[in-house]
Amino acid sequence: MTLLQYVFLIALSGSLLAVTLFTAATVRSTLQRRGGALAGSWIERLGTATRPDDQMWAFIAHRVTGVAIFAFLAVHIADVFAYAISRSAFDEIHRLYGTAPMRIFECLLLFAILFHTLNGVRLLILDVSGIGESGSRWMLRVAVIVAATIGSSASLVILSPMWS
Amino acid sequence: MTEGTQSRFVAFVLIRLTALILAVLVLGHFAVTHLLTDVAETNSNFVARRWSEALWLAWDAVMLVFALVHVGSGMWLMIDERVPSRGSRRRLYAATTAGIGALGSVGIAAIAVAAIRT
Repeated sequence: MTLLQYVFLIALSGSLLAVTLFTAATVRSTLQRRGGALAGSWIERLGTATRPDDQMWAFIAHRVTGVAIFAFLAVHIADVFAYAISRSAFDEIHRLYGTAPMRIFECLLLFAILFHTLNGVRLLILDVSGIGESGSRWMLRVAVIVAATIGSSASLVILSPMWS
Repeated sequence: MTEGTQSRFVAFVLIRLTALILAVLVLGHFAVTHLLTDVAETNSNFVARRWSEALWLAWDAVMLVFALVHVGSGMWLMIDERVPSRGSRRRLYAATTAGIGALGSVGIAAIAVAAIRT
């Protein structure tokens, strides 16, 4: 592995670590605000803790995927900047994108983008329509199913060079 | 409207306006670089060929700026929602603005240098 590739992987790992910490903090503070499983001392929680629902997880997933996509964008801006400095430096870093672990990472990134986009469309529809609580749950289910379907089909295309 | 509500409204609108454009630009970008072309083929030759066309230069520049505006407004709302202390909020706004501004400058510089060179 060359020095540039090493630097790229360190940056990518750093951004993944930041996303992990952000996820933990968001889950914790969302549950606390909601007065759910983690709010107050354990004695106060007895009998009052409610089960976190789907829409709350969608809220957390929306933030986490948003931050994750941004974390990758920051690294991606840097690797494209390498192109402006030297084309061979860009190619050196870019060779990593075709490796098996990076292909898996790219599939996960696609799932994140698809969920964030489709759930975002759901939120836009909720803003402008009076579709209500049951409609919102129904749309969330559709968003997750469509994201999973497109994501897995595209993943097959992205991962296929690994077997040939 | 108080100052706080007005800012929240601006962030709210900016997030949604940029989201509509980004849905097309980002998914299109991913499809071109990972599905229509295998990622191993998207080397410097691929970038040079694409950035010799005004369409793709504009696509990438608009995508970059809109993505950063989207991220900036989202971050602003998250800080507004989760950070109760006014001083900490201000410092966090300054830090995120600086970080996003730096990323935007680096990204636009990369696109501009590449456009001038080709």
